[in-house]
Amino acid sequence: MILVYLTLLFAGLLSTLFTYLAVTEKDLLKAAAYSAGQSIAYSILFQVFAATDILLAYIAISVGVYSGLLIFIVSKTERFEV
Amino acid sequence: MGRRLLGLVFVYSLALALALVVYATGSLQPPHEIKRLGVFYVEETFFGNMTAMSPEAVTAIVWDYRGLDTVYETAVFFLAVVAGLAVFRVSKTPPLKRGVGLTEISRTSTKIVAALIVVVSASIALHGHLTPGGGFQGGSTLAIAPLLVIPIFSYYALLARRLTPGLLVTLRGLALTAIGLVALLPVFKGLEVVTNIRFYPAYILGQLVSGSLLLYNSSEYIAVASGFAAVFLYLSFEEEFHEEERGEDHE
Repeated sequence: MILVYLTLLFAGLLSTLFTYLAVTEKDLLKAAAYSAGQSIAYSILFQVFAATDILLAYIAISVGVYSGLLIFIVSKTERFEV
Repeated sequence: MGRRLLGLVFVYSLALALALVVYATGSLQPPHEIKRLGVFYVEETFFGNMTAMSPEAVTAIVWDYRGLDTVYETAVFFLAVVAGLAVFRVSKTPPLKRGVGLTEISRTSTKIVAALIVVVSASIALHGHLTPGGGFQGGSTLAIAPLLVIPIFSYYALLARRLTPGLLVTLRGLALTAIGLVALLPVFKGLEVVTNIRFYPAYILGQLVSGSLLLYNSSEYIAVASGFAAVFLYLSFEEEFHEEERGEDHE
């Protein structure tokens, strides 16, 4: 049980860090990468909560599709936030 | 940089305070008993009288017990993709050129990874009625393959293999029609819409297919993957091509 709580703590803190970095980052490509990192931390949380069905959809959408879409969109604007 | 670090410390203090409040109220403890609704689904999905003949309770709920919710969800996703495609208003594809793509290392690794993605996604979708996963999960995983291929090999690699947005949108339409047909077919035999086990066989050649669940999952798999792939292809076309197309539209 203690391992579950430790994993929860680690993933929770990691997601908070990545979210903060994504919000404050001016380089949009880096921000997209941080956002993917936050999604991976959330995926760990879903796995710990035994929500495997959600995890399978979430990891493909949030790490793959969402990051890909963001990079496509950044390529059509400018890389740095003014 | 100092300001950013200060912000991070503030965010962590806030998170810690929130965690302490949640812990103090005792909300962290998981419940010891399953709710009655949960017990119903766990007991009925495979063994009970109201069975969906699927050991995977989530798929049984998504496509059988609460099938109507999924119909609306699929409709929302369908309209979102239609709206996305309507924004581009592209009727043609760019003329075929030889794309440059990336280095040999990334090309080779992408070939291996893309093949693995296809296999894993098919496994997620087609075993959706047996293990965690399903059509949407499998389809969104399969959509990662074109997403990888486009930047690594350039989108000409897909267009040269006739994988055009037109074909993908048609595939998507066909798959959604198949979902509609699977839901409607029982009506012709005097049963309710979205009937499962009373109309479709639970076993085919000794293999558990859970009635309509396998059909729904495989159709949704194709619909989701082709929808996403079409959007990625449209997004990857150069801005000049989009402008050209829009210019022709105005004339």
